[in-house]
Amino acid sequence: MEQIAKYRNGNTTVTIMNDGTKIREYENAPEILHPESIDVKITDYCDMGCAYCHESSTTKGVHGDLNKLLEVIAELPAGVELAIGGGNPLSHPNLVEFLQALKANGIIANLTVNQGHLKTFQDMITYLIKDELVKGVGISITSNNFNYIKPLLEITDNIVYHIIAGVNKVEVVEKLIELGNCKVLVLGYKLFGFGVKFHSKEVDAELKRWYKKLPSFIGKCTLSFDNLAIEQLKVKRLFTYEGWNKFYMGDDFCFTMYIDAVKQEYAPTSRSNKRKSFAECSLLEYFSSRNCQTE
Amino acid sequence: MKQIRKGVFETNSSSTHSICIAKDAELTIPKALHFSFGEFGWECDTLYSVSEKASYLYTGLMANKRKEDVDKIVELLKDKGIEVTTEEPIYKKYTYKGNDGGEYIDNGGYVDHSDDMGDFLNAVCEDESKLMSYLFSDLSFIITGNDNDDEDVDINVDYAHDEYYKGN
Repeated sequence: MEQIAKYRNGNTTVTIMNDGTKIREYENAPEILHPESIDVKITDYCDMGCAYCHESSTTKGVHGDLNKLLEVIAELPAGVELAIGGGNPLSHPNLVEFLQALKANGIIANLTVNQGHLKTFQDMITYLIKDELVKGVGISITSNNFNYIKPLLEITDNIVYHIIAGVNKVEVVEKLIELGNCKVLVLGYKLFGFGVKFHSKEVDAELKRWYKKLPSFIGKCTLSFDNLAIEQLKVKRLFTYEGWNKFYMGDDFCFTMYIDAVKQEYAPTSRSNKRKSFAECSLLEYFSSRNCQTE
Repeated sequence: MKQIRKGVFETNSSSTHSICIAKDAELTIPKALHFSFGEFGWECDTLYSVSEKASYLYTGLMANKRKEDVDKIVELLKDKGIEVTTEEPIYKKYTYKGNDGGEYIDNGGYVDHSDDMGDFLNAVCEDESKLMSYLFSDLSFIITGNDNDDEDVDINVDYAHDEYYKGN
């Protein structure tokens, strides 16, 4: 593993390796000045029409102002990660220039795309990976046709499959494991956006199947979870006390936050209604206003 | 303090990669371990934490009147520097009349059909490495259920492991 970034943030030191590994070190309790990573929505435009989309993205969605976004995040040091998504972020006309600016500033850009867009945007994604404009590539899994994933696996080890527990059948993990070098991010089911209307007894039944099957995947792939999935699937049961303290990276809005670049708003997470506009305060002022119990 | 996100970049566009279970899970030995009584009946569940696995083992041993094996395990773990405590069995916590009119004792903890646990209990009591792996490996777990559940759960893993099945 090769170190690609190291920075000091308050009393913590963060090191990031080229396989995505992040090591956070501190004495006593962490007291940090800026987020380690930010989820960023750069567009509301998407033509996939996912019935459960918690961002409520449609073909009527508009793009965010990425120059304004660059101004907002200018305070962040090299090594901070952006998890860029949408909508379909690949549809944003200024995406490449934006990523080039991030790279020049040492910001680590990770991009999440929908599996359904891989065919159309294959050349563009390949270029972004090969030119190291993005490091991690999240692919939202929407079908069992993995033909357009395989070429990407040949050029990077940093593909992460995004799977929504309750929407995706749990068996999809077994199929993805067969592709090799399987890294899975399990997302909880969000009762937000279109996810409110899509929610059903079938979703809850599938969540129960996920709960039951989850342990059988350990040791077969790299598993990660968002905080909602941790809660819904009771992920803590899989860990020893020591293991949990070592691998749990913190509650929402402790080390992370969310930016909606379309509406030009800050929020703790993408499913939070407690938002503040860019005009009201700077990113660091907003981040310092949080009440994180970890600290 | 050190926290580690292993092997993935932050690609989540909704909240945060909060926890990661990597392929090379390690044996984690705790400083202290408490053996408590549990209730392991018909419910479908997965026992993965050290405390749950310890409780399952302890409850199974006591239900099979194998207190001497409990003592051996406690001594073995203490020799390894682990501070071990056990929940005192509360016999005659309550009694109930069976259908046959006999009086039965419930000690507040049980494993359904615990008399079928012999193979598993023998394995971990007779083999120290199996005991340690069972208790402290992140890759060891127990799936509980019942024979009325239509859905079978296979222990479908590709790493080296031992598998025990308790019927009913």
